[in-house]
Amino acid sequence: MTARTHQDRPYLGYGLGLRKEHYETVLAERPDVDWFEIISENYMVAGGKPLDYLTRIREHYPMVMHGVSMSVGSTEPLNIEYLKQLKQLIHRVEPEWISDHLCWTGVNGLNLHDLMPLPYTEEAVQHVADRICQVQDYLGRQILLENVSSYVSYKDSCMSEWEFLIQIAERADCHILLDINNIYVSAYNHNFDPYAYLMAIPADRVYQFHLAGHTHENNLIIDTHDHPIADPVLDLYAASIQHFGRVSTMIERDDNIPPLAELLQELNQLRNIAENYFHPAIAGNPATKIKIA
Amino acid sequence: MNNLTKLQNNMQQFILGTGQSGYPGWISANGRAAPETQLSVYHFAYRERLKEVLANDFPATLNAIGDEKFNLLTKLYINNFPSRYFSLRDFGKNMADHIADLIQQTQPWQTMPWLYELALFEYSLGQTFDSTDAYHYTEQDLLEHATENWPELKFRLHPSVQTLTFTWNTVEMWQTLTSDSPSSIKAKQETNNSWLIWRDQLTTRFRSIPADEYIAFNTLRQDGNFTDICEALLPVKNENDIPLYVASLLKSWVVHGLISGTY
Repeated sequence: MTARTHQDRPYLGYGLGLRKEHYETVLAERPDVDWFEIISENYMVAGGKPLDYLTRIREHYPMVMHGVSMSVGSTEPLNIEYLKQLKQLIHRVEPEWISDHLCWTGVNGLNLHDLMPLPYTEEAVQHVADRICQVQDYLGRQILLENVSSYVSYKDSCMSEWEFLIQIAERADCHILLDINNIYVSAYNHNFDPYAYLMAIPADRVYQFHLAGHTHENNLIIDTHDHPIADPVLDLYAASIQHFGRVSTMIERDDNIPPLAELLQELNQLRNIAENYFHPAIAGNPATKIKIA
Repeated sequence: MNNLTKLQNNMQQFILGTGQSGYPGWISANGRAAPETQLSVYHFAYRERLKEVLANDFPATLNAIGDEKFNLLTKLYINNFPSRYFSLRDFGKNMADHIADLIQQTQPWQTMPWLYELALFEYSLGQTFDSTDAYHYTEQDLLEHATENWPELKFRLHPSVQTLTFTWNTVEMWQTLTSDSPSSIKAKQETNNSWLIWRDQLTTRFRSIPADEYIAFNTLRQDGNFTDICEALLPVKNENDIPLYVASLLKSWVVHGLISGTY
């Protein structure tokens, strides 16, 4: 059963992105992970092994669904076939919530398979908010919107990224999946203060944190999800806990995927950072690991 | 066209293009990296991501032609077949046809006429892997049909079943190229080289299918009943042996998970 925090926000604890490399280990060892996040598109298939593993793992763990192809910021019509299949998967998985990115992925019928940033304009705020409302009406539920890493900034932008995110979330009445690493990456790439971003986000909108590793390349940071979480991002995570309270937290790892045990250690590191803040006297003692009831 | 539409069209055009047109006026110079660098991240990542998907979906094709030719093949493919799919699973859909066109037209592809079949086999295996689930008919299910109903009985194939007919030793080459220690391959032309691909429960399987079994299987697939299958085999088998032969084929297809029902 989903616990609730003092702010009445559903709280799942500490999770991982479910990856095929770990299917067998998860089933055999039932690791100490509170929940898993699945990439929705990986399971929007007709049948076979992906859905079989999904069903068997879902029996033992709470799940949330995270999409990469809704293209909620695109200027072409929403892909109804995509939403239809997403709804079918929601029916199958019964996730705690679903999320996608504050981005566009293509126009003119094409998919760039990348999370393209939007210009931070009033036109884009209204456009994206309207489309999120359409999506939420179609799915019959609120969604979580995630901030993306970006490497480009547009001349058209006339507000900060966080103002853009907040305005859309307020107008569409959706929740926020705050990617702490993405804040750090974009702050570095665009010369803004990541802590200012963090402190501006209204706590009641945030339902989930993402954390991941990144890579420095050509005077930019790229959100590669192929390394452990960097120390400055862990610092930002510690500040996030203080600002937002208990928020369901997970690690995304998509490349150079290590054995599950290694990710569990990294997840425990996050758990300890949080528990050290909430219960400093007993943090780090596995026997007294706290779960919110 | 409003500003947002125009910006998205410009950005997409830049990513799909050569990436060498300088930096456009709609990019801000305020970031840490130069505007050219900001854009090149997306231009480069687009191609790398799709190339990686194709390398994962066509490992034998990659091993057969090596990195250099595979890079050329995927560069042409990415330029000619931008993704129209919400899932990367479908991106390689046109690869075999793309190779067939290249084989018709240009070097070095004209010297590799077998490459089309290799890519087609790999893609077909991928399609079977996550195709629709369906009931696997059992021997017990088969026995429940009264003998007098057998002549009219029709069989429904499992949705994962595909047949492919090759003119090269394609499967042998695929096995060599995807083994733990891939060795060099020798393409040989072959006749009567038909293959079944299907999923038995969760395991993708394939096997060659002899000419007379292929006739029977194709008749079943074209809505033929037991009697039709027997009649289709008259030109190639002794009439007295046919009913027993067809019954044994059906039993084997059922046992191996190729049949999902009767009607």
